Amino acid sequence: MAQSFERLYQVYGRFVLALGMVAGAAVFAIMWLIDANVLMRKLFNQPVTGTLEITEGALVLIIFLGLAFTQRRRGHIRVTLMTRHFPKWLRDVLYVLVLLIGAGLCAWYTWAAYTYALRSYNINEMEWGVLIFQVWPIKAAVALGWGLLSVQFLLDAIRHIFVAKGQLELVEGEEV
Amino acid sequence: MSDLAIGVMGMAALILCILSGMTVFVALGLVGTAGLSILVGPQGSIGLLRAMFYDVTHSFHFSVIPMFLLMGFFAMRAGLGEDLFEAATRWLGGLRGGLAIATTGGAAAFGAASGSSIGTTTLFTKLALPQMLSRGYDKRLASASIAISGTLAVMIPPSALVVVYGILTESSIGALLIAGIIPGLVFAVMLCFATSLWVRSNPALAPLIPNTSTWGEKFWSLRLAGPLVIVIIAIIGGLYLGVFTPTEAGAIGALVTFLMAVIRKRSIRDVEIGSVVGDTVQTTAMIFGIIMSALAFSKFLALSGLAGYIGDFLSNADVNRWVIVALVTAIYLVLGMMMDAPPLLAISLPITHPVMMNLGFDPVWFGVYVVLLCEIGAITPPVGINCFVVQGASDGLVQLEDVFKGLLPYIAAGLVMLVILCVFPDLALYLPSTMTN
Repeated sequence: MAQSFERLYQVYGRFVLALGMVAGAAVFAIMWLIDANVLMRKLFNQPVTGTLEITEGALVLIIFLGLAFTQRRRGHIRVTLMTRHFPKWLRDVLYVLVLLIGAGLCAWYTWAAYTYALRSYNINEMEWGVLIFQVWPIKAAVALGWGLLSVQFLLDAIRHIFVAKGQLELVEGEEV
Repeated sequence: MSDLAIGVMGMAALILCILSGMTVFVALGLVGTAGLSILVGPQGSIGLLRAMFYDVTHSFHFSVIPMFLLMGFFAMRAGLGEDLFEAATRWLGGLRGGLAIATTGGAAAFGAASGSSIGTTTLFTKLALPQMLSRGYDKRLASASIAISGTLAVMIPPSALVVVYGILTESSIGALLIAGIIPGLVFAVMLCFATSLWVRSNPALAPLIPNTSTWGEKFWSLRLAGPLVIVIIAIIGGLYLGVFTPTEAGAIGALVTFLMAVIRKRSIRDVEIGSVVGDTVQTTAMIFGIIMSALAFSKFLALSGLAGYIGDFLSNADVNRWVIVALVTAIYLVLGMMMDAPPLLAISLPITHPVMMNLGFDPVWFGVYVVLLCEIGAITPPVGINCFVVQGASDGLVQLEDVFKGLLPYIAAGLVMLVILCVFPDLALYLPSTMTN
């Protein structure tokens, strides 16, 4: 059971890490884009068309594809000042509980963001800047990001039950 | 139940959630969302939150955070820290306590290319700690001087934390970044002074090491600082003169440090771009997770009336406004002992910022003041994050107790710096007032 779950966990982990690398590629790409824009504007008075809009959209991707990636790498901040003095069983229970709460909250956010993207799709909301494009895919990325994080929290909670039973090891960098 | 009572309960619930080990942004988001749902109904809270998630993250202006982070990670790969430490050691190594002073000098200079306190601390622990210990430096002096020097990166631009303050308080990010320059440099000098005084009062802490570098070697070492000068001119000069925006400054800095890393490593493969952008995404997501949930929490506090109530109470209290500043300072110092800087700002600013604005303080000055408080918080136990970083990166050379025991002179220097900022607010405000918009 534990090993089957671990395989699922690893598959999802690879998926989330791959999306994190997509976000990383976006970071590197907008660095070049913004630099090219500055250079073209200063030297030739010819800014790169759409730099503003592309950068804005890319930041949404970077953040929301990065949320679950960061949780997978245990990069979100927690304060363990008090809990580290608790007995192990209580730490395990609390840890699973706070992960489940995280999953629930992010599921709620997923719903909120989904309705926002759906509304944008239904009214065919457009961005009217230098570039003209539909807004809903960017808003959908917000929902996707919260959804991915919700699933990651849920998997982390389930996984920790196996860890508490001694059937699996803690993930690298994980502190209970 | 009154809205105010709901606000008070929300504040208590937040502290409880954070202390129970909940991820900080989840705790902020949970309390903020639950509180908003009670105050304006679930549909109202959904409406507020979904718009806020999009508006905060769909921003050219806030793209400055990943750009600054990228620049800092590439600066590490480019070996700028190593170069600066070597130059500082050649010039200052002969002083009593010279290696600790060189560490502070090197870290301050590196802070002009990196906005990461943890990154700078890690780097200088690897670079300076073994050198200091092998030359007979006391463990307390060696480790604590590194822990505090790492915090300089947060004050001296570029700094992601300063941007976080700017976003949370809707203050000018460009002005805030420029405002940190003089206080950052003054604080660096004060830290060198603290080291010097401490070592003079107890010479056994740091044996005098003869400086064997010739003048030729000293000047030759400065060539290593050359690349950094390019970065500083690119970032700070351009921002100050209004040539480009903070986001553009960050992108240019990231490109310059990337090119330096490629030149230094003589290959793109060795720069490990995948690892650098992965770290950038991770820190960006962590910071924005906190910013988004902090804004939800902040909206809740504002709607509950608690933030306004505390603000009015303190603003109308018949006491000197500096008493309020002392109170705010004490709150930050205590909270700073318990949590890292981003959540500390997220939790406190919804209340402290309006109070300070009502009392007539400048938002930019308060930003610098709060960041300095966060710096002090980053070294004070029990959650002095930089102390953990030093111990963790030292490969067993020092224990946590060594770092904590050596902090007192540096915390004292930090407190003196706070007083100096209060007495001479122009240290922070002069440069922004002369900026070209």
